[in-house]
Amino acid sequence: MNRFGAIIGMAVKQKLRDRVALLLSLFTAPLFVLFYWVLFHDSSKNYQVYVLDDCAANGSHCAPDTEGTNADSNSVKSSSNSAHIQNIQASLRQISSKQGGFTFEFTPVQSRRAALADLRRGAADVVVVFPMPLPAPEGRQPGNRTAATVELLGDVSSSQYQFCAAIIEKGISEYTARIHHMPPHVFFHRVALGVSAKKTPFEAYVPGLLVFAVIMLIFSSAMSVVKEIEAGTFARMHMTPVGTFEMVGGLSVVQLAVGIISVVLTFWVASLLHFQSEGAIVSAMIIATIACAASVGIGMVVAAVAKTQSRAFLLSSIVMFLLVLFSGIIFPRPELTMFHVGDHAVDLFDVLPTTHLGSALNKILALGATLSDVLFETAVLSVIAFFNFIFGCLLFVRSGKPASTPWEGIL
Amino acid sequence: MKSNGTHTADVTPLRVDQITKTFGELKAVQSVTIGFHTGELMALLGPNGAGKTTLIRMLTGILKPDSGAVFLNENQHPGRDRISRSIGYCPQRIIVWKDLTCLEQLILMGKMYNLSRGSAVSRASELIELFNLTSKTNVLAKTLSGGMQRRLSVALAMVHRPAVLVLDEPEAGLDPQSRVLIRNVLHHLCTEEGTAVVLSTHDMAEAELLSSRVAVMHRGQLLADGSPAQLIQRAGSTYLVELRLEGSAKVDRERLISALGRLGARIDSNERTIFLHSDAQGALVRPIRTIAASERIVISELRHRKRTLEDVFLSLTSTQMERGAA
Ligand SMILES: Nc1ncnc2c1ncn2[C@@H]1O[C@H](COP(=O)(O)OP(=O)(O)O)[C@@H](O)[C@H]1O
Ligand SMILES: [Mg+2]
Repeated sequence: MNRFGAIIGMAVKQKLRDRVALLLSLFTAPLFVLFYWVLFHDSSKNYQVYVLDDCAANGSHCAPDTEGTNADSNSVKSSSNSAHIQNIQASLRQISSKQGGFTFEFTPVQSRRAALADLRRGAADVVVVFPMPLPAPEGRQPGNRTAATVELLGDVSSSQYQFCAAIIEKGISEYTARIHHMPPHVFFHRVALGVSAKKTPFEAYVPGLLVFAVIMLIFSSAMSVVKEIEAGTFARMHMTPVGTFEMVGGLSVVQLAVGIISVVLTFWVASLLHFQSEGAIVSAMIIATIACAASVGIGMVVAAVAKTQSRAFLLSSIVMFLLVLFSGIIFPRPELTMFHVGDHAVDLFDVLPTTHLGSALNKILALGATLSDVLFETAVLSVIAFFNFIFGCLLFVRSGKPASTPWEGIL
Repeated sequence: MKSNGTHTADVTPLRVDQITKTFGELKAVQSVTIGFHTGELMALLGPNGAGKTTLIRMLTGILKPDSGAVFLNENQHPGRDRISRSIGYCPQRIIVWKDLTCLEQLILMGKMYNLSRGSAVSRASELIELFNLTSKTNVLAKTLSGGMQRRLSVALAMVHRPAVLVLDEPEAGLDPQSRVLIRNVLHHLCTEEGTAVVLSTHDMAEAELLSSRVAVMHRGQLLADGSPAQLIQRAGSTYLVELRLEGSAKVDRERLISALGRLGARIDSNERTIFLHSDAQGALVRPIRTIAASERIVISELRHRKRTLEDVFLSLTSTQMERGAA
């Protein structure tokens, strides 16, 4: 008992003496809880609903539906589908404001082709295709079974799509019921984009696993550098004419190579096991490779900040935590739009490489996107990789100046 | 072994002027001025905590002095590339690449200094032979014994044939064979290649045996600087008689000390031993015995010996302590 107590005492003292490590392990989870609360406690999700009016898109085919409309609404009188669509959008907005927690942003699209491209780019959560024409109210008599079919296109495996589809179906049904004064009579057809409907859990998980493989590199590359720092070999090297960029760069290249091999192996194993991809695997590999570079860059920053193995371990765990939690690959991603670039909303969590890797992989593997569809992700990933690597090196250069005392206690 | 001070040390590739470093309250190095000459082996001698490592870190540009200047080939505040070209540094801690072989890491180091592959390999093999690591050429460093790792660590500092080689306690924890080996290597470097070698040690016998010049450091201060012979001479007599009185009372000891005063020699004492300084070999032995006999005090041991650096060090630091106390 005496000895056991002494050992506990020894462990407590040592824990207390590495304050940084202790604070990191104590406060990480509470801080995340706080952070999530700040982000979510009264946030609302904004869904991108793209609207394709098949009637307008096919112009001549669609006879304007002007034959003496119902007195229900003045706007309906004047035109065809577009009036209905306006009304449907208004009633959907009503649903969202009544229910709270989400909003719809409607964007008209001109063609099915453009709509599919928007889905693949990830700009739209769902595309609603209204038929040509929506049945005129007086054409609908009880017993007359003419019905309209509204199509809902999208990645049926995504929760956003499922949510939007449910609300939109409800809204349209309510609207048609209201104007016809009879039970709704619209068919809905959910149209899966790419292989999104055929995804087995296996297909659904592979991109996520790949993301994990890529972010594990943060850990291994930070550790490989910190190991050199602790062993003193980094400092010893620094006494030679070799530059910091050469040292950090040399170590990074090897880490990057390990990451790329791991990515290739992952795809190879997955394809042996009949993993189905809608897009080109090579595109996915290219994206994953750039993401590996970003991970290695982040690893360098972690190493430069942490400097010891135990701290690097904690710090990279936290960073990896962050990358998983806030990138949307497991939990829904909080939206924190900072500013817009063109029509692209730049979100706070766009600084996380996993955000882009996850979405790019999903677009390629499940939705059949090509590299040009994921140009934004590719560009941002490259920027993140480059920025982190440079930043990591600068941290080393700054702390590695002979004039300061970075290697105190090492040399 | 040691050079006899005949060669003229007129080239001073590295020197420091009034260099000071404090850590909080602690004055680790206080206003030290010293130069290191070509072809000379300088030992920084001092107990643990004397400030040797701190001084060395400032010499090698790892630590910035609070005040004072470092001159490398008469360039004040030399940059990293000048330092890396001219200085080889072997830290106190053994630093080697545990997962590289001896040959691999020596070649690596050569390439860091822009040697071509060929010359890096030949330099590496040369050093492996010099440090008697031939049988371990292709063995991972982590499997080497402590002494071998220390030898490798020293070798790594010599790859680029620096004009100044700085070694922080290179002989710490070495077996006698390795000690002799390193001693020979360093001696060769000084005399044959004209390298200025600076090493720190707390082992006075080692410093006396190895170096052509000794700088005595204590509590951050440079107490003395010169060849071992000069230091011994400067500190007073060349010979020393040690008297041990076992079991005699304090009064007896004091009586004997005052009686010995008649001899006119300098006397130091501590609890158990009385030291008499002398310049003539054996001159004092007979009179001491006579006086002790007349005072009826039994001397349990009487030793007559040449003074060493250790005595110099002890007398330097004791006077410094007195000054510090005053
Ligand atoms: N980075 C530091 N921070 C605080 N004190 C230090 C630091 N480095 C050395 N010291 C102190 O400075 C004194 C001299 O240390 P050092 O130069 O290592 O002595 P030596 O090498 O002669 O044994 C010691 O008292 C030591 O505790
Ligand atoms: Mg030391």
